[in-house]
Amino acid sequence: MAVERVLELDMDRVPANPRTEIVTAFFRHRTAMAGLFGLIALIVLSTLGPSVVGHDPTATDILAIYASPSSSHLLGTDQLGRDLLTRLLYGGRVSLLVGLMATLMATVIGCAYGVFSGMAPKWLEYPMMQLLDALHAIPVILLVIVSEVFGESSLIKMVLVIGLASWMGIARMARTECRRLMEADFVKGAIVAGASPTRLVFRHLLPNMFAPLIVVVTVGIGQAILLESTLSFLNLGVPTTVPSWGNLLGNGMSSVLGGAWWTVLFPGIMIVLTVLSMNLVGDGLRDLIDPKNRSIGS
Amino acid sequence: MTKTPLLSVSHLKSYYFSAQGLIRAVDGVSLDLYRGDILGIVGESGSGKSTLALSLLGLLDPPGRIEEGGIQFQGEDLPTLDEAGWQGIRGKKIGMIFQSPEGSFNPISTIGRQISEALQTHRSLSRKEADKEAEMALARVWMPQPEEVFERYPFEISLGMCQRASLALALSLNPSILIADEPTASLDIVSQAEMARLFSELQETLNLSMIVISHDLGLVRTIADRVAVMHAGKIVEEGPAEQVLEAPRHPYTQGLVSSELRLDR
Amino acid sequence: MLAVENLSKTYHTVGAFFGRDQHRVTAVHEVSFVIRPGEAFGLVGESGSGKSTLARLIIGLERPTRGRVFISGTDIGTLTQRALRALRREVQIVFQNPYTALDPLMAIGASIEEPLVNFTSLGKTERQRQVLDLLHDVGLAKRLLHAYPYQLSGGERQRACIAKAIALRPKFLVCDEVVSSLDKSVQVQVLHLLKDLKQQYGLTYLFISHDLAVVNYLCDRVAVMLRGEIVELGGRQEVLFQPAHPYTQALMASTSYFLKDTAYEKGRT
Repeated sequence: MAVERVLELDMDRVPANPRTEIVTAFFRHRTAMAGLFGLIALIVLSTLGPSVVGHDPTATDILAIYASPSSSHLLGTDQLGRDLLTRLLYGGRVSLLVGLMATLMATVIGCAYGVFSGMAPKWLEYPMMQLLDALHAIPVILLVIVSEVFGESSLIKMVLVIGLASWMGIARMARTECRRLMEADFVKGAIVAGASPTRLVFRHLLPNMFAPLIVVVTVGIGQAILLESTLSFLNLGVPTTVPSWGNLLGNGMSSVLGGAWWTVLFPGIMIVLTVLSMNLVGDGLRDLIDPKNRSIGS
Repeated sequence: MTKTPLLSVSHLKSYYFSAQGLIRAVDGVSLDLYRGDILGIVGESGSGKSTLALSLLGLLDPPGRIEEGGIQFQGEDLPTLDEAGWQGIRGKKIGMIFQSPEGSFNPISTIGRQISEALQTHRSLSRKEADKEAEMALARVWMPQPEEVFERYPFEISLGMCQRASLALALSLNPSILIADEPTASLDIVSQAEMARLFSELQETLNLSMIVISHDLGLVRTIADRVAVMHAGKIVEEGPAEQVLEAPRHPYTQGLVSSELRLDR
Repeated sequence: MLAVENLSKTYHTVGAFFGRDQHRVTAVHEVSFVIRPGEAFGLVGESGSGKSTLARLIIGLERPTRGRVFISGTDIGTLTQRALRALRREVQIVFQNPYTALDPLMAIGASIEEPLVNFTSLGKTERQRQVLDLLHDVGLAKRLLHAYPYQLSGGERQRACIAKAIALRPKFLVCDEVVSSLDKSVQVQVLHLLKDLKQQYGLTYLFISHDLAVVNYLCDRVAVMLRGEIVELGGRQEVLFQPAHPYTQALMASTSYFLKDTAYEKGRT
């Protein structure tokens, strides 16, 4: 007795990729969109802003030191007469660049380590995790000091240091997700269907890990920017010749006592707004993942 | 001679208002439960039977709500009750057991302690009296070694025993009606048969009135006096168990009954 | 076709680093049986009986602690990873839960195509054609090629899983509680399908289920598993209707209990 009828699917719309569903939902989430807007504004300002404002970030003007905000210097000048707004915008480039690059590096290393240990047999996984814990315990400052051995401070060194300080959290998350997914029926099904480890990782594991991963990464970018600012504030970060919000803040520290409040306020606001934007985007993504993804990922 | 039903549901509509749209889970359901009867509600997944069960106890959380219709019980129309009113009904007048036996119990407290505490709270018994009642409640559901089980934690006993403990808990509060939502679905077949026998027995000895909601025709066949078949939020057929299950009239019921795999066919 | 010899699997939960107080769970203990080509072999057991572990051992997803699994005369324990992977063309499995057995981010056409991608060098058009044929074989509409799992019902998803499992025309199919998560009316349809496919493609089945009625419908020989061991083994008729072991007897008695309209017999209606 053959199957009597071919089952029809009652669809009133084109099959939608679960991914597009999430993207459209994201655009409806107000705080996440606010965060995204903030980020886009930041990117636009830092890339195009300096050319609009017109000042040279390194140009000193002894006649205009500690000038309060005015029409020629919208946000005032610092102790060497350099225009603060321009330096702020250039600093934005540095923060974004370092933040993104470092997090990218951390994500690649973290995912590789995490997925590898998640797929490894138990006897290999445990030592790997314990090594991870040990590495995670190393303070960033130590890394910075060690990096001093390898030459002058530079942007690249900063990216490397922050990247090396941040990959552990991502690795742990990647390993947890990977372990969870390895137990899932569809992964076992893929193995039984003959998937090679490479295919398994890139076709099945990583896409299904994308959701929690993106949350960790977006927040991680904010953390990286904060870390860079902190290090630069302590003059342990980017070279002092390169403007960064952190070192603007550091320079401003001494100036503020003389009444030049703008040297501290504006860099501070920029840091706060940027990290806040990243966090809002991350939170928004997390909200989307939680209840919605129950029908998709679990 | 017409008896008045113990519980009477009329044109009940429970809807979910979700982002995806309106879901008419229960769409105009009417049924009656008579004292001492076991009413079986049979339905497949998506039929709305779970929503019906939740509606009967006011456990429907937003985005779901009872949109229309009445539930008459002891002179009250239940959907009109506020939360305080419902709390007076739940457990004490209308008891409930669920599919997952562990769901009724706190995993970090012993079975006996939990039943005892419920008795102390709801029937104002002293600790000693409640403990004794709890043990008796366990014995009444044919629990092997009730004194032993009293001291056990939910994870230490089998699922079948845990489900019986849930039943003991529900019955200890002396409700007039017991609603069982898929009471045997999580159990192995041997425990299922025992549970079914237990239900029939309790119906005899306690004159227990029950509503059993299940996808399992076998269970309903064995214990129910009357059967209502639910599909897409509506009752498509209702009547004495013998008639509905052996000589169904509605095509949906006929399809359901004919697709049952039986050892004797 | 398949032979299992003294198969055992014990799990150790890893305790402390140099764990001395390790906890041991024996999931499968000294199991031996033979499945002949073209046969539908039923394995009955409740959850915790070890049947799913046994399925994984047979399929090669796990290695046994003791004993051997022979497929078409080859001891799979002696095979390298590569050879084991090649074995997947012959032996396939369909899992219990259709809700988790498909990659939620892949269209079902792509999921069904996977075995073809991994093992054949067929071009995209040819693969697509074969996938459409498979959809037809399992009774799914062509339109569903691009549908995602979340859009399909349990029965439809399970059919997709079956399509994927037979894509490479395996000789041996392990069905692990494949209808247990489905509505009863859908169960019958899927079982019909499995019966048809067995006929059409000359398949051999290891059919695992806790439901005796289901096993009765589909299987020729039956084994009953309890706590990791086979307690009864024989032809369907004798095992089910003349059970020798008390456990099997209890299973049969309980299943039969639900066939009687007890309430009516009590004269209550």
